[in-house]
Amino acid sequence: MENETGAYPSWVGLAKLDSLFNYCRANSLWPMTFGLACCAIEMISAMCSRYDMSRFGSEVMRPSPRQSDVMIIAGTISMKMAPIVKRLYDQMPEPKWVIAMGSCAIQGGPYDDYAVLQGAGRIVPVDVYVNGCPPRPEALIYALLKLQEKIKNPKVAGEPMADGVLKDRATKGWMAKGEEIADIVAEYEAKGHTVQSSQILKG
Amino acid sequence: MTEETKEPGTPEAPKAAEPAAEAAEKPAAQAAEKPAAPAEKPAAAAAPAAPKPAAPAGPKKWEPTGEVVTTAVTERLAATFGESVTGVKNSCKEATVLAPKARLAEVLRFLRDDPECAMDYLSDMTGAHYPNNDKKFEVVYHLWSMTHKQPLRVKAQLDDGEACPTATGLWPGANWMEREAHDLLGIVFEGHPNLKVILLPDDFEGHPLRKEFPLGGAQEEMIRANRYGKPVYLPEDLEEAQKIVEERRHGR
Amino acid sequence: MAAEHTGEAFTSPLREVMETKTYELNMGPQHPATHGVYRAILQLDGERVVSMESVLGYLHRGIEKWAEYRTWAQATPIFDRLDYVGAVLNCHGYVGAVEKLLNLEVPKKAQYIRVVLDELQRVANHLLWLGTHALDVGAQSMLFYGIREREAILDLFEAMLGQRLLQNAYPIGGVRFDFPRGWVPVCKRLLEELPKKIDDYETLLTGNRIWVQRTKGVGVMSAETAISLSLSGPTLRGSGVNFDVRKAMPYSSYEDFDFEVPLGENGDVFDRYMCRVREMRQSVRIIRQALDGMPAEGELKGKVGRIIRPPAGEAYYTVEAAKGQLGFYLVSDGGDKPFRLHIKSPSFVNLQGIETMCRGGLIADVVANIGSLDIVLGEVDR
Repeated sequence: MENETGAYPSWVGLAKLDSLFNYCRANSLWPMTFGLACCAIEMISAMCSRYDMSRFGSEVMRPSPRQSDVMIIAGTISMKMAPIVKRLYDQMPEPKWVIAMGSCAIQGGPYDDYAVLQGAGRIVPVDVYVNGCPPRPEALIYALLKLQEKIKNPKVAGEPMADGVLKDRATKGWMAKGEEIADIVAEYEAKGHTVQSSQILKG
Repeated sequence: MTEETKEPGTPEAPKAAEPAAEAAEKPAAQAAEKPAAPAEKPAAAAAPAAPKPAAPAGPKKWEPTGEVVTTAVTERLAATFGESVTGVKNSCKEATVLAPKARLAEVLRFLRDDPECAMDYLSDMTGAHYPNNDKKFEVVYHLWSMTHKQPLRVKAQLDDGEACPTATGLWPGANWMEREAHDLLGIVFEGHPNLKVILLPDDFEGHPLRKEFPLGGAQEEMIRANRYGKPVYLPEDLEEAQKIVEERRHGR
Repeated sequence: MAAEHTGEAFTSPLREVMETKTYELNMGPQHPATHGVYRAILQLDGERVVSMESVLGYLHRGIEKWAEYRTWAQATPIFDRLDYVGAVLNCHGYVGAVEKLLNLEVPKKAQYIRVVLDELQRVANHLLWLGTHALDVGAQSMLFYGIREREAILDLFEAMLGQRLLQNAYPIGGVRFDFPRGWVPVCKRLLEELPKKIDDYETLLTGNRIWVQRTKGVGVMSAETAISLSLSGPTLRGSGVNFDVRKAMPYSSYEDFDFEVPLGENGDVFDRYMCRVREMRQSVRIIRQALDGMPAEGELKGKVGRIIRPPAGEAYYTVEAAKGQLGFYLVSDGGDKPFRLHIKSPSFVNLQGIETMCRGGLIADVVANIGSLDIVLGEVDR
């Protein structure tokens, strides 16, 4: 795997720095103080006495989206709130992650009506879903641990590792209409990549 | 572990997308049809309850059951306003009166200011839509007297589009309650200082608590119109695809 | 007591030669001190609030419409999600309204169990309110103490009802379960602990100079204004109006219990705080009486059919929820679904008072005022 400039194989250094960065990122997540509905109360419980989420490296709740990197969507997103949630997500600096907490954030919950957005996935890319109505604080902590795992080990999450893969995934990973999974896998393997099942799932 | 569990579902994902797009059109089509048949839902809900074996055809009017409850306040009202203020039947022993729309403001003012009534606390104010009744809308006031510790319900009937006199002059607390009734039911309150949208989005069309409004509203159409974003299928061209991915990631 | 602010501009010699104008400040809907997705648009003259406009609806979920499409029993759990901090009380409000519509008698034992759970929920609500309100005003540690005791109450709910927060506590007609074995002793031990803990909170806050300066004379609401604005609950009683649904229209055997209704005098943030703290002590008193006076034997559920079809008519049933008077206006057409369902939510009505409270005050006090109303946006927007 020669670099195009030919100076030195760039992926050696890059990969290690990436994993170092990711390790640090995973253990110092700053969630945004952003409660929407019922789940926000359980989010408060998870932050406070007894559950104390700071044991897992995310005690710094930031009220401003510009200072935080995890958005916990805790509650129902109404149609009136949806553009604001989207804007808050856009205001967060990269890299950023989203946890959708509770069934309302997953698919609208019980509210199959005119006023509620049917799931946070319609407006922002969600990394971890937590089910429950509302989920217990333990469930939120578990979701956070899962997110940390995902950040530390992007391969598990199907994140691209190098430029070439990114370009491939940019077209194939998102899956053009009518395309078969098997084709993509064959194409990947033809290029000498080992394809993990999880790698082709993310998009 | 979670990644593996997802695996079997994935190959179907691109295929499933097409039926989903078709299915998305269906609710919208139903939603468009529904307003044409406003009587459908209430009639269906009322049908099993009809006690008579031969229920009359056509939409059933809403009528309360029970007896008219008289209290000192309703007698005082009857003495002052005569026959224009009538008692309404109630099955839960709640004193209820029906005031004509033209005299509603007068009745409410009398109830608040008269020392024998002294209904100084407006507990609640709302409206209701009865599509099968002659007068399609009702406004309902729940009053409470802090001195005499007595409740009273005052109702008035309105036609569609008819304006109701505001109660904000009597109880400033009616402000938001009337705005809510205006928002959700479309009742207009004459003389209200600030009658604008309160709960719904500013550009929302329709009044959801009216019976002809479908539960799902126009949501499906809004999503299809890409107002709040929808899944994007990427083009084959690499550079274009890259651009779209970047845009999506940065939300531009 | 500080004088009510007039809202007049700060006078300075420069004012006469320089033209100044108010500026607009947007607060929310994503703001840590608005207790949810509440948005306020403030017109400021320096640090003084000239006027304030509330923008609601960011958590409007269409619950009233939603409930029209469910059967009477099916709709019950959704009302826990109105005021998600006091879920049991909401559930009581709805099932009570349906029982009234059905003319259904709830057995005495079930009524007593309801009183115990209701009052526990009220204490839990006030603990969370105390924590978040103190956090807004600047006393962070209060939140951790408040949550600590609240967790103990939620454990009791979980042991009995199977859920911590949104329990779907009561079915129409009564209660589902008697207290499980060993529940009552644990509850009684908590009741012994609670007044001591409340003493601790009072040591932290009531005598605290910073707390008093931030709350006394702030957000003053006179009794007449409070009544005309239809406020209810501790927000109304803080202004000295003796109106408590438990006393005024006793429901669920509240007439059997001996308790006081705490009242304020000045109607400021401090009085509303004191009302709620003293209310917690009264709740403990009520729970003790209910546990001691509980009938040993008895039915848990009244006679209610599998399919509920109330007679055509309307009913308005109110309970004293944690935030104030919670009312359910139900209209039945004789069918198995509600024809019209309206929720009189105390938070929605109480929030109307915010404009009166904040006008003329300092911008820093806006947060204290919002906190003192104890709003929950799920209930405001429904």
